[in-house]
Amino acid sequence: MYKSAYKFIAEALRTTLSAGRTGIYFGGTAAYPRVECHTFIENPPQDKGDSVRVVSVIVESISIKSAADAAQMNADNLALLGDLSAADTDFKVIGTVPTQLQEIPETSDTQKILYRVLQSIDIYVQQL
Amino acid sequence: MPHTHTPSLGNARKFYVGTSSGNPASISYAWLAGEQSNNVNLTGDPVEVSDKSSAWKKFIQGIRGGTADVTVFADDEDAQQMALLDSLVAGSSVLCFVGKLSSSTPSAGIAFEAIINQIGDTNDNGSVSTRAVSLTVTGAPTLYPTTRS
Repeated sequence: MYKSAYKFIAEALRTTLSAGRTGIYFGGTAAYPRVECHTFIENPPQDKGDSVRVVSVIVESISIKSAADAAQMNADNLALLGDLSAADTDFKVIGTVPTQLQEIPETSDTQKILYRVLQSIDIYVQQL
Repeated sequence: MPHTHTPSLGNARKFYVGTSSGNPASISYAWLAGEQSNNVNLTGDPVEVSDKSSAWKKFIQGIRGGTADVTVFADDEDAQQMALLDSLVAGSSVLCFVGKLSSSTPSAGIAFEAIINQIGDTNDNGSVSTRAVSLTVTGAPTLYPTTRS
């Protein structure tokens, strides 16, 4: 029976990205530097067992210091996600594929005030 | 009384591999796990028997046959996928069923014996690996349900 992988992926990302990292906030906390995972798109299963599917997600790195700081946070995120092998009783990760990166700074009238790097990732998941 | 027509999604008409042999009605089948799609084509070669008694061509049914194709997510630890690979290597036939099962025996669909023409693996960058199997039906298929309403 089909189950949504959204909760599994959201928890796996938070656990993986926050492991062993200090001084970086994750979601929900209005402080910087910060990593947020958002814009989840869970695509339909690709097989008749309703098992294999792709979950697209944006992992956003936000810094108030510099573009380089946000870029480094993103690089660290990718290194951690490369080893993403989360599993629970219902799902397991088959693999992750980075797809697109966008840098979208927020500006005031005169200067950049937030450095945002948005990394799109496809996560292949198998429902067990 | 209106005709009862029960369409179904392609999801429900799956490709199964026989896990036993013997009487077609007692063969057990197991789903080819990770299946994405299948198709079955039964064919009959028309034989022309036209003569001058009519201006229109006439035909009788000639030799029948069939082919099947199935695509799955590749898994070298899956028993059914390995059975298909073993069959190709050994040059032996496999028992197949496409349709709906009831307690591992066919309820609606087509059961047939087949030899394997080709097994092709596709390993694209950034995608889950897939395996496509092409088969040729040997002998007459068995159509389920065996009784007609």
